[in-house]
Amino acid sequence: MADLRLVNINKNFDKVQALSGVNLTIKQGSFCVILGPSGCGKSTLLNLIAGLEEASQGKVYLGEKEITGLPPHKRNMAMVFQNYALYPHLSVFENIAFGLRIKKEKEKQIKEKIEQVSKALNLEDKLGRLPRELSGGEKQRVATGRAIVRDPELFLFDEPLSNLDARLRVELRSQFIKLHQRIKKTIIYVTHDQLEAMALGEIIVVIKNGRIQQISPAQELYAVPQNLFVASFIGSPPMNIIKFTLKKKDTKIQLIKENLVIELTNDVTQKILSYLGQDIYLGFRPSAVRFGPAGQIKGKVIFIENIGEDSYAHIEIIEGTEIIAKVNDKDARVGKNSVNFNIDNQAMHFFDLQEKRI
Amino acid sequence: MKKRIRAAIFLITILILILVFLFPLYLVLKISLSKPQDIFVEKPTYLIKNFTFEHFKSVLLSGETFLNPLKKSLLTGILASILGLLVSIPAAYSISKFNYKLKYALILVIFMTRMIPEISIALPITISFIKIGLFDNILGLTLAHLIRILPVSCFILVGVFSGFPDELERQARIDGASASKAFIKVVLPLSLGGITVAGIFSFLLSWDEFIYASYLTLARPTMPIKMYYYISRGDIFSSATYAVIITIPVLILTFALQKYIKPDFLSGAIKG
Amino acid sequence: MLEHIKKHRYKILCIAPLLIFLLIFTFLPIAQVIILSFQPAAKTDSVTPPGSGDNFTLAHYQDLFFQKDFRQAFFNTVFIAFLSLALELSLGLSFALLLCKNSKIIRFLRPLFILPLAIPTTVVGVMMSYLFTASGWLNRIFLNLRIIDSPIYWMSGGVKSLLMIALADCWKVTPLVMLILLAGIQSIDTSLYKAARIDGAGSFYIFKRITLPLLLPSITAAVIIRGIDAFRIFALPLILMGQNLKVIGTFAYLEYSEFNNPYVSAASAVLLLIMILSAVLFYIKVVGKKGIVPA
Repeated sequence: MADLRLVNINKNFDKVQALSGVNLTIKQGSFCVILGPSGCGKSTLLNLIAGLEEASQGKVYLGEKEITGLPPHKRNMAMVFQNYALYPHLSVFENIAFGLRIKKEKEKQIKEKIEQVSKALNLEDKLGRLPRELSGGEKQRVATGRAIVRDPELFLFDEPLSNLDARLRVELRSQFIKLHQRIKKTIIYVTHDQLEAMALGEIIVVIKNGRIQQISPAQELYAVPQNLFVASFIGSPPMNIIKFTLKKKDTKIQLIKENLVIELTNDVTQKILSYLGQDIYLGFRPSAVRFGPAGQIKGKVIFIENIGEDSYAHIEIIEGTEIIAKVNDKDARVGKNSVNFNIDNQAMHFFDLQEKRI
Repeated sequence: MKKRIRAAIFLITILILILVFLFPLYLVLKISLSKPQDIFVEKPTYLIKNFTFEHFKSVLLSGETFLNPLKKSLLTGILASILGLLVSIPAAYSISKFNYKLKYALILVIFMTRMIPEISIALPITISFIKIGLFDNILGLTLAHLIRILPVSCFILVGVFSGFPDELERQARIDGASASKAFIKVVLPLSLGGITVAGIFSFLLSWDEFIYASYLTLARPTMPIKMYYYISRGDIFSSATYAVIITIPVLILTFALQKYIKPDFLSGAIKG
Repeated sequence: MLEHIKKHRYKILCIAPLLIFLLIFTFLPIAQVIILSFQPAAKTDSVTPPGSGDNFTLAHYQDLFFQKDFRQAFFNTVFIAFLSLALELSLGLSFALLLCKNSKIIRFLRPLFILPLAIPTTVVGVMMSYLFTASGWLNRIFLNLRIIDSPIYWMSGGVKSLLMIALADCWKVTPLVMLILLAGIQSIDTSLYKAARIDGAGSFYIFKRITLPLLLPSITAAVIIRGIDAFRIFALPLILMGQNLKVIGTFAYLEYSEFNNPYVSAASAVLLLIMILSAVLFYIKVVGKKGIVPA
């Protein structure tokens, strides 16, 4: 076992650049989630790690050993695909045994291992069935079992839950965490679902258009997004992002957009002082909105979304600009047409026009 | 009510069309099963009045006269379809893995060979085969039939392999199988249906082949050549009987493959 | 380049047998037949190996052009090709339109229409000979139905015989044309018909303005696939007419097998090849490459 390192990886398909300048180190034994919208290159990255595709440039290392050109069957990694890729002509038992048989393990050993795995995954009474006789969740478990039984150095999961319904997804999510705690092997998990990523990942890699946007633990990703894309991609409902001009009036720093003026408290202004007179993006999460009659921002409530425990108000602050705000029980008056509120200055995020965090 | 009448007229039209359309087929069957007095008269009957198995008996029991052509046709067909599969399975598989441009170019080249008239190939290979002793024997004819078979079976198989789900193969590679092992253990067993279709089409292409057989045959005819021999001698009972015997396996196999019959296959497969 | 070959060596290894076979048994013979057609006839009985010496002659081609037989065969080939193509297209389209509904009965009956496709061409030849001889069944039926007063001599040569061969070919091939067109018709979005109906279009108008234009790609596909085969027609004319009426295919065959004249046979084979290639090139120019390879 060793760390996995990707160095300066580029990957082109004909003229399309799927990955560019990817540098990534995944610590041995960690649970790493690769997160990004569909088509961002995350599956390509996974295929590259597995050896199913070859990088156009760059190198892949496992520990000190370079494995860039190594074919998949010499890498000892296991992978679970989105549609499970169970061999339709083989029974569950034979599906799980497939890799062991290729390694020419003894029949007795194969039986033992499969017994163990199927017990752990609750598949004991399904071993004789064919894949088409299984439910979606069972197929997923067989695919996982097939990966575990080979005792690989690395587990690769390519959106393994996205074909399942929401309830099953939550259930299996916790299984993955338990699995990881038990086997203590490196897991690389690809998903487009940010909730899933936050729930699973010790470390999350956000990718967009083939470039890594940010690598950090889940909480940090939420609290300190490094650029506008990460800020808007993480969190649901998404962060409110508005472009303002930064001005100084007397001693106060103000954000100005049309006739909307937001005065900032001094403690947040330090880092943005150098942008005076320029345009910047302000980002704040719905939960950063504080309602109150003294609020300096005035808005018109358009409608309120009730999602179980929480409610979210859609508020128009100037014409054509809407924000989403979380509504607490005590803010019951928000039901009225017009409201006043402030934004918690500590929870403000600023981004420059290059969309980088300030 | 009006709708019903229209539907009835429609159905009757179709049935009449089928009757007209399939009459020649019935004719062959009828001749092969009728006594001469049903045929060689001023006004031959439409139905089989004097039924007989005599023609079949005389053909089937004619010993080597019948058995040798049958043997040659069967052996050539089987050999050609096996050799055809052996060549076209790996070829089609690797074509299906090439990038789009190369794949397109190769398919085009293979398709182009279908446009070449057989007579312009048959003549030179006949001359060469006479020299190297492949004239009038099974191996020579098999090679000639492969000229016809390979493009078609490659076509079918490229379609089969291109439609194969990529994930399964990748999964096998991840599970530790080398490329060739993944092909043998996963791709091959799951493509068996398509491969069988290609194999049967190959057999049929050989079974009813006429042009190469005409050029390459002297003393040992195939079934179609034998039938041609009878028809050119004016022996209508033997030719009809041969026609039925040649057609029956074709019909059985074709109907077994019915759901696979697509214009794409057939454009290459049936006519020629 | 070398690295490329190394990377793909398995693929290349897999495809090599096919390419080698095509080279030896398709492209080499084509080269040989072309060389042969320009070679002076050998004095002895044996044919000199192709490509030996500096022999070059156009004599065989001159021979061909001065032979009434060949000119006739050329005319016959073209005539039959066009006639059968026209018949097959119109019949195929009618059948396809008739059978395009997806009701249970039609799905059950459709295979019966496709049946002739499965009949070996040689058997079709035999079958048609029963039908078309002077005392054959077609005359018998026509006489019975009082369509004609005296038997038609289909096999006496001339246009009648050409028509007979075209009809025989038509019997076998119409189902193929029908299948191609049927696939085309069924791929047309039925909501288009509904929209047209709502717009007040009648059946014929719909056929003319929607079905036919959208079917054009399938029709061109059918024309090209059939066109090539129509030029190569061989078994039917040989079985039905033998020496009495030749097309280029049978002319080349008989020239070799009956008259032992491989050079002239080669020359006519080359001409047939040129005819087909120019037809295909013409097609590619008009329709583009897309029509050739099914997607």
